[in-house]
Amino acid sequence: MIVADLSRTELARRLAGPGLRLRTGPLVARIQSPLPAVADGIALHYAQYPTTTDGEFADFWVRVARPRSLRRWFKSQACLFVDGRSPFAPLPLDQAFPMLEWGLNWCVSAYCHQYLIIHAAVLERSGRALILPAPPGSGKSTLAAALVHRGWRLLSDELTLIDPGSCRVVPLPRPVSLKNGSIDAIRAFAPSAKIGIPVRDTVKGTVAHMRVPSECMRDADNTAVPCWIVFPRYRAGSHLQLAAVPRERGFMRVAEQAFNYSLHGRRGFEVLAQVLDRCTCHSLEYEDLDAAVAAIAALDR
Amino acid sequence: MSDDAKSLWCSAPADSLAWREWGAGAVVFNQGTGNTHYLDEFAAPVLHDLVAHPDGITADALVTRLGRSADLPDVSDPASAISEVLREFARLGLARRMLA
Repeated sequence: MIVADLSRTELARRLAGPGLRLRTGPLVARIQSPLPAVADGIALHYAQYPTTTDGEFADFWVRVARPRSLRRWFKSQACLFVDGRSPFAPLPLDQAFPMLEWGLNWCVSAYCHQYLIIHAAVLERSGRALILPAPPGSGKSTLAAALVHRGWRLLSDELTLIDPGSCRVVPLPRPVSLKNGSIDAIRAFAPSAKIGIPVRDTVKGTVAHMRVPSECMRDADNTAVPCWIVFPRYRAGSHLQLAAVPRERGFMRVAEQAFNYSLHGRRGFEVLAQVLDRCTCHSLEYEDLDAAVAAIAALDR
Repeated sequence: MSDDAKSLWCSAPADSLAWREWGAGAVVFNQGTGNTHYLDEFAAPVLHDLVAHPDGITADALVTRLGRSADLPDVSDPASAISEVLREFARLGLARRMLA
């Protein structure tokens, strides 16, 4: 069963009651929320995602709700609860869906140490993975959103999961988080993109999520072999620059973007080294999305 | 000749170091500290030589050995450069000066 099979009433009932068990990649999140904005966001962005039956194991239990304190009476806020605890400060109520997305990302990066987790977008073509590691604000989600509309399959816009046993990338396709100018940039680049209502004044500025196109969901469980590592950097007014990066330096840059590299110790080193064995590394400075997409396509020749 | 040049140096235990080299220096994981280091084309062979001499090697000997390598980048004062690399290795836990 997928989320789209549920009526809107049933979706709201599950979210407000026992929770919706939502499968994203290898993980199941039990999501509870009585808030209409969360139900709206899930209905739009997760329509094609499998939902498992009540009582089945869930990796995370995430709840987004109004706070219980007196604050709820004079300020409209939403709180994120993970396994019953609230690790973050409340946010304005209209940020409830972005808060769920950030909370799910946090759960993966904080708990899923069965994987080496890199702060990177990752896409796939012909079984080969393109990894885009970068700090926030570098334009990796924008570039990932553009590539998705030019034939690449999204594996994740934020969290690259490497299976230490196979050194393959495990898909975790979720809505692409677009910020500020990138929202209109993607609207112009891909008019068919389904983008949710922008939420203003978040800590990241204006945020809107882009739905993962249904064609990306067809092979949602297929892992991919790392093949290219590209370090993107959006810079207004720049001309496209794609340059080779020595693997040793690439290794260090990827390790800097890993959430749990140190936790894996020597194994993490060996896994990342095997990833680098299979990849070429490049830096990409861009402004124009068409040019950036074309430069990346050229790597695949 | 300074005392530094005559001192014996050795690396962290060889089995605590994991290496990967693709042609432009090396990355090394040190199990003793849990840290990973990038070594450039000059520092990587210094650590290799230290590992190859578990009983210790002097900085002078390192200069001589590395001077024979055609692959090393040009360095105006190899003795000073190696001395600096050894001090940095000691700071990072990759090498230590052996007791006399």
